[in-house]
Amino acid sequence: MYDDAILQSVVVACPDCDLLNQVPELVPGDSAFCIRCNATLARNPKDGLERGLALTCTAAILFVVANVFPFLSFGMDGLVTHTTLVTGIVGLYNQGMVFVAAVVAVTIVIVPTLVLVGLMYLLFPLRSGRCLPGSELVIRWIIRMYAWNMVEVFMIGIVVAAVKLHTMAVLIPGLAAWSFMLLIFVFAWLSISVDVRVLWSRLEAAR
Amino acid sequence: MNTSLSVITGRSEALLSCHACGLLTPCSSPDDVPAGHERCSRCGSALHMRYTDSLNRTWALLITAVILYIPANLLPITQTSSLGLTQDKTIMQGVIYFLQHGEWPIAVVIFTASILVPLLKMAVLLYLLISVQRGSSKRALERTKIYRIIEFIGRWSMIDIFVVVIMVALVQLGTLASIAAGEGALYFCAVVIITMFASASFDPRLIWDRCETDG
Repeated sequence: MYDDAILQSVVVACPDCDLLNQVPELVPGDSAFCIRCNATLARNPKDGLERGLALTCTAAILFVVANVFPFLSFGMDGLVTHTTLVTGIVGLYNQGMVFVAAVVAVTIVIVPTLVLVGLMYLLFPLRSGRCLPGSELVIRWIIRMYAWNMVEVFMIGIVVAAVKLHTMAVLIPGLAAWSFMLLIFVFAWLSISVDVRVLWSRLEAAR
Repeated sequence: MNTSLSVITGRSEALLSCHACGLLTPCSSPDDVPAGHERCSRCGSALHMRYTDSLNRTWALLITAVILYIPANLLPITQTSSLGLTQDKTIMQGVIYFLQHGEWPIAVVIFTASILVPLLKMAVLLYLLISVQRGSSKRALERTKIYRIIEFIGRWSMIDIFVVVIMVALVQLGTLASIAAGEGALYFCAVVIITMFASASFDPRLIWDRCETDG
């Protein structure tokens, strides 16, 4: 089952200090680190691609919920506003804050969507040893975009905003707020369950 | 470059390491390959011995961020209107407001994310750039570690921007109460984005290159 090239011993240049390291065969669950600067060189996640795929699907479902449902309901003197993510972005745009609205849209909506769709595009066929056209490009873009996924930062933003406003109004956390909370953990788990080197070696085998 | 050294790197062996997939590709000389001239045979990414123009790009982005950091802190980040009264607040005034109202955990979160982290990040990048340019070979491991820290924490500065977005979305009750984003939000957002690009354009391998030539 674990017939990846990642399991074979391979020479790798450390991305942080350029030292050539001999990465030994990795048992599922093991990671290799640079002997000079301790950077992570490779990881062989447990359960192969299955866990990564399961977490990607979980994150996708939570992400849809987080975007569609209101994350906070705000009541003040009988007036209640329900807020979804899109309302906030549109609100900023209407105030002329186009750049800020764009940054929020990219980091909270567009990048996570592209990363999750991209991972599904790769992982579903790779699971049965196949690959779809353009897979190389998809991995490269996932690597490039990954740091711009700020869903977990947004969650802390929700908490801070809630504390800020709780004295002036009644705040009710919505379904989306709980989804964002769970997404923090799912995204963190996902990022240690998928290793780009495993993806590359699987992709090479599938071609 | 120098075969008498015990440290063997990608550069000393004239091997280009693909930044996307890690595959090593031999090249004719250890000097930088111009952009686009060689591509990884496995994934098709452009290969470079070091990031293109790493120090110059990082300097340019860092200086831009330092300049924008000034209006980011002096201009109001939020504009609150309630029953005809409009109040502008800068980031620091927001922190002070929460301290005065006994909400010190929120004050600490905002101070750390919006003031401490960007300052720390810019200071660390400045230190890394100067130490690399002076050819320092000291404390390479420590410098690599602080580089990894600023790479990791940079994105958390966005908290305050997200708080503003949420409040803008929530507090829209017409004349009763409404919150708008201030000019400062634009500059602050730019500072966070630009420092993220700055730390991404800095190549940490430059820290170690000097250690090897020193022997």
